[in-house]
Amino acid sequence: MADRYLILEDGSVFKGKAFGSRATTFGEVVFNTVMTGYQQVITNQIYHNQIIVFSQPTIGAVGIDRSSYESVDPTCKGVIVRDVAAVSINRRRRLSLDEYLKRQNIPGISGIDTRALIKKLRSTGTIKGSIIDPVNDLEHAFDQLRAIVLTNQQVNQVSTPKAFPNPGNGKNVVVVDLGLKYGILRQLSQRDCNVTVLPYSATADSIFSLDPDGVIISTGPGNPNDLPAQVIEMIQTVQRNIPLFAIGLGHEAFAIANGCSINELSSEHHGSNHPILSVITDEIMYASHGQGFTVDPESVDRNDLIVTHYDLIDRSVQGLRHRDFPAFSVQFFPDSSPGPNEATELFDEFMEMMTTRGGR
Amino acid sequence: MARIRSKKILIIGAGPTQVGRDTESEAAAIQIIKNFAEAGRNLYYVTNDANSIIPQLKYDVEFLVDDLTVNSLIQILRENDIDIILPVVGNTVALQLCEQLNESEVLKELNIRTMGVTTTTIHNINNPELMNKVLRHIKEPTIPTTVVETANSAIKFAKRVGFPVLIKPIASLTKTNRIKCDNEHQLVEMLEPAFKVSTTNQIAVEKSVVGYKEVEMTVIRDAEGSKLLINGAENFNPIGVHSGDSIIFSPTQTLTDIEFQSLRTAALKIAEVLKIKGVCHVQFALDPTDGKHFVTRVNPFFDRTSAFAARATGYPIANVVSKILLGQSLREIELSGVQKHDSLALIEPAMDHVAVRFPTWSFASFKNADQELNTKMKSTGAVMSFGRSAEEALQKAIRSVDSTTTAEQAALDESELSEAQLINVLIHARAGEVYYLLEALRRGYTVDELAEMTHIDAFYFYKLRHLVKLERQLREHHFDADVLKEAKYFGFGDTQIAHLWEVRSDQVREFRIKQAKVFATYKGVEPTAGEFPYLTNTYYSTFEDEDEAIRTVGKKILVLGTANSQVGTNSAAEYTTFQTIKRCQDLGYKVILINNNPNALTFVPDLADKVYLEPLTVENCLNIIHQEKPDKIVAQGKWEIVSQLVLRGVEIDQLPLSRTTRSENIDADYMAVVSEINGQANLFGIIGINDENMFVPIEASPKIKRQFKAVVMEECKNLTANGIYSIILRKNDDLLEVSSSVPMAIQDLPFLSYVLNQDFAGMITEIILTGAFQIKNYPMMGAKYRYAHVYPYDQFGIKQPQNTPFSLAIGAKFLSN
Repeated sequence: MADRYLILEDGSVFKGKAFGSRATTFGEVVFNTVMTGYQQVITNQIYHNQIIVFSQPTIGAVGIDRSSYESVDPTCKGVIVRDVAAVSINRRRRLSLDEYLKRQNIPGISGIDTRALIKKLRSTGTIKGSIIDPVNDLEHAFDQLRAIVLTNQQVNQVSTPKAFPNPGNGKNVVVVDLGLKYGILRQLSQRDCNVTVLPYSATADSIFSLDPDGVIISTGPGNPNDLPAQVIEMIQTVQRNIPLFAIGLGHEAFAIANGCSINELSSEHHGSNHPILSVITDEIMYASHGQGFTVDPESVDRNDLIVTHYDLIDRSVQGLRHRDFPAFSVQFFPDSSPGPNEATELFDEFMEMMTTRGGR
Repeated sequence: MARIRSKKILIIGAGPTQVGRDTESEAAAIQIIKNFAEAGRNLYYVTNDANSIIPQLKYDVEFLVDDLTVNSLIQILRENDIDIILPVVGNTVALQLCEQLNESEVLKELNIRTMGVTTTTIHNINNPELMNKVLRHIKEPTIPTTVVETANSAIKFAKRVGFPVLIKPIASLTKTNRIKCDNEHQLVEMLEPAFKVSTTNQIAVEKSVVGYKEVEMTVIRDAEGSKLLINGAENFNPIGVHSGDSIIFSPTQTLTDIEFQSLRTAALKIAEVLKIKGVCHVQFALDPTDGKHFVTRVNPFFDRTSAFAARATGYPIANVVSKILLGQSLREIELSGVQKHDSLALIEPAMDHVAVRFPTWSFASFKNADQELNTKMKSTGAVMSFGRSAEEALQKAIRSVDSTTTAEQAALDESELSEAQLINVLIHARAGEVYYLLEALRRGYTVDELAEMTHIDAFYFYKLRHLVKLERQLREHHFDADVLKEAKYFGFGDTQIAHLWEVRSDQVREFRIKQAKVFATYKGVEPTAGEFPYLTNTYYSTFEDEDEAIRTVGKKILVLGTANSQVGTNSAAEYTTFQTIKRCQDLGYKVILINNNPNALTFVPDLADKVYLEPLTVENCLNIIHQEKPDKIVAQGKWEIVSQLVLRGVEIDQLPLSRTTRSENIDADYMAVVSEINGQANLFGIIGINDENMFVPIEASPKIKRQFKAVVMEECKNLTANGIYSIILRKNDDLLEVSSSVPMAIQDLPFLSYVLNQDFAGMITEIILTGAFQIKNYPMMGAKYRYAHVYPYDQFGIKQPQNTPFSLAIGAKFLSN
């Protein structure tokens, strides 16, 4: 395997081996501590513009599973790992991770001291990095890295340009795609919902015209403060009329729509190991997280919103519910894939909400 | 206010170590007792393990020696007015005793409750049919099984659950094994003879899960119902080989997220329905073709799996469970290592390393035993290791195995094997299987062929094939820095490389350090995978960029641990190391420990100041010595690694204890225990040795005592080196004769320490390190106790010979009078 380098904005250089695509790549470097489900992580659109470091030292051992995609066209910028495993191809897995990343034009680098890298990222916070071929002039590579400006129009790039259906026989649900994670669709399919996925630019009127029983604002990449104002306005209108469930970036947008401000985390948090307290049931649950931003708890107007979930490790706000409207949101991924699946019951709550509020 | 009598808690121990149970129960007991004693609880601990370390601890606990039988326990409960029984330390032994106590209604009569596991749960766990019912209720499948009286119903059942099935005649006239039937034709053929031997005309039929993946989940639950997964671990061998005899990897290597999460959810659900307060290990059979699972075992107590989980993740399971048992909730318990945030006991451990547990066998000493691996556990110990890849962790595990326990493997030159012999091992796994698998790859078997033959996941064969490839590169490129670097990165040891380069290991070391500049770096073991700053004291080596271990400051001593339990020294060696560490600390040293037994007493958190969980090899010891620059190094007795290090100029204080055995005195009558310090002799006591080689402290008249003393003191004049000795005496008519004087044998040390009320391990440590010791005389414990060695013959299915040498003992037990 050919040598490759990972360089970081702060001037550090890591030498490793190539896997996946051999393209040169730029992105924010973030680490993820999940121990299973690399495929779901890599194909999650929240990683648009980001290079993912896995703390789990070996990935690739189960290849690429046809039922574990979180998006068809992943947009993460790279994968960093200690070791990539070879696999036997069989009926369930027709692709190795290496082959898959080649086809998706996503570069990977293995043989990295990922523990040292993660400890560094923990203190520097999220910084830019680049995976490159060996070059004589490293300074030039660093200049290029420092000069690169990553787009803040990420939702525009990952959201579906056109509406598409995911038919079912039950409740009529509109999903607004900010960078949709397919786990959400899987949960709705399991509950036999008739789903229409709309682009992020969907207006409240276009949603109402579909006469949904409920609306889901999906997960997605990037800074919620960069979302077009019209997304926030759409949420403000929809939440008054139709049961609404917002997840991840959707949760951040829901918070903004209800007057909260959003803080950037000093270091992004990706993993599924933090206990989440559900305030209402007083129970602990686990789910996978992927967040670079968090709702400022001071900014939550308690007259309008109830904080329903807390992360017990960093005390961050993980869930909100509107006092007057049938609307709630969670920061974490309740659809699991990957990660623990005890939070999937939030989709049942959404179903109940649609039944009681909609009355049909 | 009226004073409330503090509740009396009885902790039931597991008894002596044996095949299937190492020191993990004692290690859990130490931590529970420490936490409970510190919380002021009124504690009793009962066991018949003569190697128990509990009486040596300074914690406030009443140590009771008794048979672990229901009748002795009833007596203990009555005499001591016990209020609560804690059954989670003593493995299945304690659980079964609790079940019997419950059945005898004595718990109800005395108003005694259990702690950690309810009597209902204990009842369910001891009755598979009830357990199946409970699990069915929460939709967790167990292996379908039935009892049939006709061939037709057997066939009907088999068709319903799917072939293959296992059949076994009930109440058989002859000794019968379970027979595997792959199809209807075979089943029909096997049923007739099976019905014939059943005295009740009944046959048990069970769906066969042989070849499924075996996965172990360890979870913790508190009284509020908060629960989390601590660790998932995967067996290298599929079902069919006992998990105690399989190599185990953590984190799971070949499970998809969907499979992993379904097992995690199932384990948590089971802990919930059984209302476990504490730790619970759930074992699963996972169908590799469709990801469906069956629950095969539920252990709501400390066992080897939870011990490995704690080591592998760095999560202090026993300390957290102690606090849960003391009434705290998981939300209130903090992990001491974390440097940021709170509620960390609730953090689900994430790992950034691979941990491997590797079984060790003693077949070199039990040549008649059947070495084929099946559902009966045969390993006598285990080692574990860490690496940053599956290859590295596996190679380090193999190197951790003490050379004496790998004698059978060392003697095996795989290249001499005939093809037929090799194929036989591939189909019927046997001890040391991994060496044969490597040889098969060397001979050109493909990954998919081997996966098909062994039912071991292809992932592992890709890893083994990688090792074979690196091995070939090493053979072809002697003293090539790049090849060396790559090999070290994937876990090759200097000695292994030397073998491939056909040079001495010192030459490899010199080339590696001076020319190639390839150095070991150390990584911390902690449960957050680097997410948070975490103060850990446990490290392992790898060959990467960053080195996290900081040289210990102050007066420090390196203690060479005892590695895997092995027949002969067995758990007594761990006991001795434990006491050595404590005494070193009393003498003002910071203790740096190298050890690698996942069940080790010495891995109890808060014991050693720093732990290197590493193979005990010359290379690793030299690296650590270089890293830490200890003032002193101490080891038990003379053994291979010690002499190898001494040969390389390392100064080691060797505790003069016999690691092998006290001379096998067939006709010895007494043993006098003496110390000899700088010309001063002291007699601690006389022990009688009876015909069955059992030890009985004797009460002798003053006249006899004087006679003993005279003979013993005379003999002491011949002892030149400081130490603690066993003087073996024979009675010839009325005359006492000395037959030999030997350093105290490690396997006698715990018992002698107990009955003579001394800390001989600490004493010998102090004598060696300081050259002096102030003898304090304690009263002897009285003549109540006898002890005998425990041998593994039963488990191996072979007959115990007459006068079995002590060097084959796997444990030791107190005998009732």
